[in-house]
Amino acid sequence: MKKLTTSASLPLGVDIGAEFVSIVASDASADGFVVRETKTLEVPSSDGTSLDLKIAETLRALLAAFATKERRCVLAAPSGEVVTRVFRIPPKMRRSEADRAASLEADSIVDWPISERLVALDPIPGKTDEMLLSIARNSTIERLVAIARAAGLKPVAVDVPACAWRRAIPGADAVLDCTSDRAALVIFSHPVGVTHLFPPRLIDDRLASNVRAAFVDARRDGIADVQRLAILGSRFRYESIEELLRDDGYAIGPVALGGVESPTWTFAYGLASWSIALRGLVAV
Amino acid sequence: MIRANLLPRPKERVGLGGIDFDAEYLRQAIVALAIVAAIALAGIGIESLRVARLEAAANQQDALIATNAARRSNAKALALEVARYQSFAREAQTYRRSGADTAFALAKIGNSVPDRVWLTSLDHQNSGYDVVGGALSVDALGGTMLSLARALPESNAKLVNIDNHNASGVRFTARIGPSATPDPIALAPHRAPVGLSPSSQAAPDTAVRP
Repeated sequence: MKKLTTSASLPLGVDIGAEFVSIVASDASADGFVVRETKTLEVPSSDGTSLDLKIAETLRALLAAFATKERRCVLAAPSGEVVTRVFRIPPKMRRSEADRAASLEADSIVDWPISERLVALDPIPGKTDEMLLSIARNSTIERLVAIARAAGLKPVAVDVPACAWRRAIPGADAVLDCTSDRAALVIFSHPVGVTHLFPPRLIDDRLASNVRAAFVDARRDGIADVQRLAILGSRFRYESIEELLRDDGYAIGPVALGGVESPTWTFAYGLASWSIALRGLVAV
Repeated sequence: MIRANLLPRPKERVGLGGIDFDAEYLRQAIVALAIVAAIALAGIGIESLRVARLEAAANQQDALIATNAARRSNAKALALEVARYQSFAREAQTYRRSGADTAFALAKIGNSVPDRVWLTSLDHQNSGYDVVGGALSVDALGGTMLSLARALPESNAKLVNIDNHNASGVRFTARIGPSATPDPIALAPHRAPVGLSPSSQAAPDTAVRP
């Protein structure tokens, strides 16, 4: 007898970085959100002109090793190229009016020309009078989409990094990503939080100081009172930073997904859950 | 959990008759058309109601006119009778006033005769008066003509004939009539007397014959 419950393939979560690319394939079934495959590949070193080509080739190679035929994907804009705000909507405002108002609001937030920016309004779960206003550079998004298409992917969404991190690590108040050359700290709050990009190749002592200062600023500005910090990075680096921040009283732990500690595809996992974000499916 | 999508989303489109329309614009156009149609229908309804009420009122008035036709005919006949009697009344008034007017004119002419001048006859002929009289001197006759011209409104006095008798004065005939083109020898009331001065001697007899 054929089972009535079927699973649906979800768009791939694709993390495109200058050093690594990761892909997570997942399904949504009645049981919840199921991760099927995960893979990460290092991008061969190259000069700046052929970097995009190298990334596309790496992605294509990665896809070839996947069993899924799914080619729809969700990408993420670079952290430094996205600005998010809460956009309050007056009652009975139509979507088109809200879009126009958001465009005007974007003028006061960033000084990029209108032709060089993308403005998106997305719902905030549980809020009817607020939306998430995201502004990104047009050229950055176009570059990401072009790389994905060159690899044979079909982008359906470009997410804000903080949203993907929040979906990937829902139990933490902040996440410190030390996987790449340039560490990033995301402090979660309503609706998204703030992202700090630290200078590249910081020594651990200096990185811990910056993290500590960011937490103090967040508490002072009313953004968040961070208690639980998740660190994504090598075991060696995690232990070093954990030791430096231990005395501050934070609950520090490594990122762990499906029994894997600090997986390099954590961010891609967050992107893969984009499709089920509004449905609230539970990861199994 | 929250999510965002910075990928430009294509506008929602609706196909109608093989033509694609932007759903937002189509929705706005449909709303605008609905508002216009509602206003037009409301206008038509109000106008129809007004026309129906006016037609009912017109029919009611027609019925009232038909009901009052006999009374209107009687009123019309009565109005004709009234008009006829009013005409009679006006004629009677004219006749009554004519006697009074003539007597008033004769009195004015008589009162206008100065000293040393007298009238022997006064005839009312053809809307005017033929005056025959005498004066002690020709000088007195000039003042007499001026007085006669002023006696009646909108009239002038014309000296018709003078018969000079040195012993018994001057006999004259004059005509007082309605103002017309001035005759060379007619004396209009506004003309100043020239070479005429009233005499101090009173007229021996003044006779007025209507």
